[in-house]
Amino acid sequence: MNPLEEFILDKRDGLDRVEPTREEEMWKKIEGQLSSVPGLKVADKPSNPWQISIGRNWLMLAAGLALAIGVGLFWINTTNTTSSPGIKLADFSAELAKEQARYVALVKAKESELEIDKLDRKVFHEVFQELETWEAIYQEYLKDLPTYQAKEEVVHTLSKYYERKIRILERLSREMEKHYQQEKRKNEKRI
Amino acid sequence: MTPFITAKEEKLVKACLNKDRQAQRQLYNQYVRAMYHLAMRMVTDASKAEDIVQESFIKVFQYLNNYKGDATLGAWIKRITINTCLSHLRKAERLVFTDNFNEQIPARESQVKTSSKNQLNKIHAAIKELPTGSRTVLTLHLLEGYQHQEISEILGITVSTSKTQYRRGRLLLQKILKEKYKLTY
Repeated sequence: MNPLEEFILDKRDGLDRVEPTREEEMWKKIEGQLSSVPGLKVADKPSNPWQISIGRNWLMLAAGLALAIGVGLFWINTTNTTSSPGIKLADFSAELAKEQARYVALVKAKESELEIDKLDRKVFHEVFQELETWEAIYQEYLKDLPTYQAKEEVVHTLSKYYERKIRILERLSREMEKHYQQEKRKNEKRI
Repeated sequence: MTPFITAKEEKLVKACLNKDRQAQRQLYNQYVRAMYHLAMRMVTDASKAEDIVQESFIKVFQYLNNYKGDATLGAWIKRITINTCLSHLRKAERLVFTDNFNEQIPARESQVKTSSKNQLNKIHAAIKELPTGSRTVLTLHLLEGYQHQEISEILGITVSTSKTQYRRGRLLLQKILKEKYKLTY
């Protein structure tokens, strides 16, 4: 990777904030079109997933509350272990910590599926380097967290980090497959 | 739920499928900037990029029930935007992969100190000056993370053409940055 590519990847998110965007004007046009596309007309009433008829569903409500308490206790236990050293997302919002815990679990699942700890880093040097770079960028994000104004922006940044990380892991999976196929062919030739 | 969709996104998708206008607006707010900049880099014209964003969002809401969580929601939405951009470029017959490049690598010189933001503005502007073919490949590979194999399938070119276009695009980008914007990497 040359310095220009490195710089661009390092500041990738910034490249989506360069142009002025006429968000309101565009949305108005989209909204207008949505009303005229069959099947996309707005619902008579906005959906409310929390609306429950208590009279008929008190058991469901009680079960829901018990589940919420259980999940809440689980979060309290997990958020402390998933945040990065020094900076805890839970300090900003329990919701963010929960979101991060979920993403961390996804990444861990992918890493254990690939048995990442057993891999020869030299063979997949490029991918590992990209993972390290991405990790460093993330640490920078964390440092900037207190300066973010909107919570949505933090969630968006976090999602982008983990989305990218999962994509890199998928690439690693493809590289591994390619490597094993090459090794297999080499062995076949020897035989 | 799949590994690519969060509980929050799943809830948002469901609300959008129920034609909840607030949820649609939330999804729009979340992705509009990334989609608009992607479109700008691909078609380079602000009014066309706006048309593409609008068209893409209509498609997103129209086909959201087809999203099965086999990629991240962001990646799925961006893929729709990319396809819409390509369709516009093909209609305008602008998607050509030319061999006509001067491959001279610009010599490195001492870097003039400029802020990151300023550098990003210049890089974005320089990307828009690249020929359509190499600009498209560079955008997809470097900025959107697509592999050359995937790009070759999307654009209907060979993997080798994709790699060549990328290499040439990168060199030309360095040249434009150096000669026009006095930036050297």
